[in-house]
Amino acid sequence: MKTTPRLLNNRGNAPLPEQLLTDFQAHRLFSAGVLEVLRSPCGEDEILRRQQLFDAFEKSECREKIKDLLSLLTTYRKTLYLPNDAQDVLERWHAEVHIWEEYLQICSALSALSGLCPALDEVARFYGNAEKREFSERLSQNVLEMRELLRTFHQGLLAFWEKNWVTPDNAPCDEFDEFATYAKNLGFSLPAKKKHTARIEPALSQALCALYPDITKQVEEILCQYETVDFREPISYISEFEFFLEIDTLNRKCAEMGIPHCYPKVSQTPLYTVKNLYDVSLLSKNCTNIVPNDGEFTQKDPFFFLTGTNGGGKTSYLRALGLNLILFLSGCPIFAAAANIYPFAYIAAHFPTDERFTQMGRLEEELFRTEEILAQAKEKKAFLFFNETYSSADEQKGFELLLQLCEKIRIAGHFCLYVTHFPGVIQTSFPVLTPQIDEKNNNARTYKIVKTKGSASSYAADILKKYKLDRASLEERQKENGT
Amino acid sequence: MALSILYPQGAKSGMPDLDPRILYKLSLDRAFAEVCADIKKREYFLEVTATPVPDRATVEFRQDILKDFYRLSGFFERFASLYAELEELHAQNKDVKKTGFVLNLSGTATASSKKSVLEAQALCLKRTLLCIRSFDILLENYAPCSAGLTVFQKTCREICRHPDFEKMLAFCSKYEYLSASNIRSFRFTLDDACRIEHYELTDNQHIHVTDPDLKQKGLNIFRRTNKEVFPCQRLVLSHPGSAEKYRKLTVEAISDLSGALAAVAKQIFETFSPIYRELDFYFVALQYMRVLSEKNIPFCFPDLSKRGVCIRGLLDPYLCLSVPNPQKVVSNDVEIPENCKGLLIFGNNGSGKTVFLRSFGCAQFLAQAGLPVLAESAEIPLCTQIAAQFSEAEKEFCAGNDAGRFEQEVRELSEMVETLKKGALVLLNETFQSTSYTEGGEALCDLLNYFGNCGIRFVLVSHLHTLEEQCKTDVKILHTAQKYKIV
Repeated sequence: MKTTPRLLNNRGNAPLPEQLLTDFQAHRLFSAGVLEVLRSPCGEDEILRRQQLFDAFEKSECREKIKDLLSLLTTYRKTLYLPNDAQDVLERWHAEVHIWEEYLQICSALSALSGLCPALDEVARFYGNAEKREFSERLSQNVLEMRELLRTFHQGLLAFWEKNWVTPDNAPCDEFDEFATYAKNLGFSLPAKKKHTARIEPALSQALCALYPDITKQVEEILCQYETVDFREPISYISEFEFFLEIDTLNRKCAEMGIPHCYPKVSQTPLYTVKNLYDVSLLSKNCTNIVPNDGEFTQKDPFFFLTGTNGGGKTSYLRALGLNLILFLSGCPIFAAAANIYPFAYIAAHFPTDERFTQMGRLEEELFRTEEILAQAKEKKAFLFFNETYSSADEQKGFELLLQLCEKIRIAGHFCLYVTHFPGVIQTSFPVLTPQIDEKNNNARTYKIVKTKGSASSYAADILKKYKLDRASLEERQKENGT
Repeated sequence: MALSILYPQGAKSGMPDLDPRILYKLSLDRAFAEVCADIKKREYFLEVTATPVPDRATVEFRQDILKDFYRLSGFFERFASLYAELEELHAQNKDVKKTGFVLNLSGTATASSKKSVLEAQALCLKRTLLCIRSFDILLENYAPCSAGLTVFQKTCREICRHPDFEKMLAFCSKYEYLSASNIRSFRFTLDDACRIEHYELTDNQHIHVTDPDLKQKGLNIFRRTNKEVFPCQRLVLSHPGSAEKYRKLTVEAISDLSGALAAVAKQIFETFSPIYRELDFYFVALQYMRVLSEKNIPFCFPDLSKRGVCIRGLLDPYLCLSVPNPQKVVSNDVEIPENCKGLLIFGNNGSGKTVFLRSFGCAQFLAQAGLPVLAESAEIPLCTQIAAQFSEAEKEFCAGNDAGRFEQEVRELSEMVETLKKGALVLLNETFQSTSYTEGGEALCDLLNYFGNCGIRFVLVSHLHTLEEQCKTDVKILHTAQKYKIV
C-alpha cells in the first residue's frame, strides 16, 4: 500500500527558534499547533503547493467539507481510545466495531475531496483507489456481520437468586412495559423509559460470552482479520486541517476588517517587496485601525535602518515584516495587497530582553546573541531583524558596536531591518526609514513608514496636537472654559 | 382534561374586571354567613359567586347539578365523602413523591427505601383506582341526570369498566406488599456502545434456568429425562464495585416503576381532584336551599331565556336570612321590559330603596352563579358584566389618594366606563350625592344616557329628582311607597 499523502510536507529544514515567533507576537494570534508548523519553513515547491491549498480553502465548498471532516476526525480520535478504555471483552468488541464504522465514514469523506486542488486530489485518489475500496467493502461487510452478532448479547435476563444467573431474554415484556400497556389502554400516558449509560460490568460480559460460545468464536474470528490494520492513519490529518482552517479563519476575520491577504510570488532572486503590509499581531490588542506600509528590500538595498519618533509604529513595522515573512515561508497567505518574496533560508531577530542571564550583563548578552545570529546565518541567505540592539550601551559605544555589526551584515550580504534610536545612523551610507504623519488620514494622526534622508527630529508637536495639548488646542480649551 | 362540576368545558370562565368588593356592597357575604359557618367553604362559594358566568349553558349546567344533589337524598354526602377519601389519597401520593424526590436528591436511595416508595405508590394507585370504581357504583345507584354528573360518571366508567382496569389493579396488588424475592429478576438491554441502556424489573416467572452445577454433581439422575434444559450462565460478582453497580441499577429500576405508577396516579388526580374544591360551592348552595326551605322562604331557579326582567316577590337575602322571622320581610316585584334602558328609584331616606337595589343585585349574582334566587318566580336575563357603585365614605388618607369623595366617585365611574361593554348591568346607589344637585344631576344624566345608548342596563337609587325629567326616555321610574314597597 502506498504511503498516505500529507497536506504538509517538510523537507526537514532547521526549525525557527520559538523565541522568534514570540518576538513577532505570533503566539498571540495562533494556536500551538499552527505555531509548530510556522516554525518549519518549507521550501519553494511546498510554499506553492500550500498556497494552492489555502486558495482552495477560500472556497466555501472546500471549507465546509474540511470542517465536517475535521469534526469526524476529532470524534474518531476519541473513539480510537475506546478499546484501551474497555473494561471487558464485550465492551472492546463494540469499540472496535465503532472504530470500523467511523473509519469507513472518514475514508468515504476523504475520497470525496477530489476536484478542489491537486493536494486534496492526491488524498482523494489515495482513499479512493482500488485497494482501499476493496478493503472498505470487506470492512463494511464485516461491520454488518459484527453488529448482527453483537446484537445477540444486547438483551438478557438477570436473576439474583441464591446464585446469580444470566439467561437469554425469554420474557414477553418487563414490568415497566406491562404496566405501560395497561396504562396506555386506559388512556394514561407514561414518561419514556429512563435511559441509562452505565458501563457493562466484566462479570456480565464474561457470562454473556460463555452463554453464547459460538457467537463469541465468530466475533473473534472477524476481529482477528484486522489485528494488524492501522486504523490510526487518518488521524494525522487533524493537525493539518486545523492548520489550514485556523489560518483561513484569520484571513476571513481580517478581510471583515478590511485587511487584505495575498499569496506572494516566490522570487528566484533575494528580495522582499511588499505593498500595503499589515501588522496583524495588533489584532490581539483589539486594535482595529491598522496602518498598512510598503517594504522594498532588494539586492541593491538589502539593509535599512528604521528610526524616528516614539509611537510612530517602528516596532509594528518590523513585526509586520517579520511575521508575514514567517507566514510566507510556511506557505501561508500574507496580510498585504501584493508581495514578491524570496524564500530566505534563515530568519533571526534580536529584540531587547530582560536581564535574565545571571552570568552576563545586558550589553554582554546582546553582543553574545548578535554573534550567535551571525554565526548561524553564515553562508545562508538570511533576513535579520534588530530592534534597539545596543541601546543599553552609552550612545558612543552603542553606535560604534552598531556600525561594526552593520558592516559584518553588509559583508555577509544578509537582508536586514535595524530599528534604532541612534541619530547617527542618518549619517551612514545605509538607507533610513522613518515614520511620517499620514497626511491622507487627517483625523487619525497615524504614521506611514517612508524612506528618508532627513533629520530624525522628534514629532513632539504632532503628538501634542494629536492629544490636543498643543498651544492652539490649549488656548481654545481656555476660551471654552471662560478663563 | 380536568373534570369540573362548575364549568362544562372544564376551563374556568367568568366575567373579567369585576370589583372584588361587589358582594360586600350587596351584603351577600353577610347573608351567607348565616347559612354556612365553615369560613373556608363559604369563602370559596363567594369566590365562585363573585365570578358570574355570562353564558346560559354554564348557569344551567350548575343549576342541573344542584338540582340533582338537592333531589337525591344522601347522594351529595356520599359523593363528598368519596371525594374526601380521594383527596386523602392525593395528599398521600404527594408525600410519597416527596419522599422519593428527597431520596434522589440526597443520594441516599437504597433498594430497600425505594422498595418502600414503590409499595406506597402501588397501594396509593390501587386505592385510587378502587375509589374511581366506587364513584361509578355510586352514580349508577343514584342515577343523576345532570350533564355534569353524567360526564363524571362516563369518565369513571371508561376507566373502571375497561378490561385492563382489573389487570392494573392486580399489578398494583403485586407490588403492594413486596418481599425481597419480588425484586430480584431484571431485564437488561445494551446499546450499540455496549452501555446498559435499560434495566427493568421482570417477573420471576419469566426466568428459567437449569443449574449446570447440579448436572456436574450427578444430581441429574433424579431429573426426568424429558425435562427442558434452559441455557444459563453463572454471574460471579467478584470484580470490585460489581455488586454496587447492580445495587444502583436495581434502585433505578424500582424508581422507574414507581415513577410509572406515580404518573398514572398523577393523571387520575389531575382529572378528578379539581372537583373536590368545587364541592364546597355545592355544599354551601345546598345549605342555602335547605335553610330557605326550613325558614319557608320562597326561592326558585330563575328562567334565563327571557330578555326582560320579571321577578315576583323578590326578597333581600341578608334580611331574610338574618332576621328571626323572615316572613315579615317585604318583597317587591321588579319588571324591566326588554327595550327599557334602566330603572330609576326615588324616595325618602329609610324607605327601602337600597334594600331594593341590593335584592335586585343579589338576584342577578345568584342567578348567574347557577343558584336559586329569593323570589316566587323570576325571569332574569344574563348580563355580560356587572358593576356597582355605592356611595361610600372617603377612602383612607394615604399617599396617592388626594381626591375628595366626589373625585373618588368620578374616578371609580371613569374606570367603569372604560371597561363596561354592551350587555352589562350597573347598579348605582346614591351616586354624585356629594356635589350640588344641579351638577350631580347633570353629570349623572349624561352618564345614564351614555349607559343607555351603549346598551348597558342600569338601576339607580337616588335623591336627585331632577333626573326624573332629564332621563325619562326609555327609562322606568319607581318611587318608594308605604311599608317599604317600591311602585
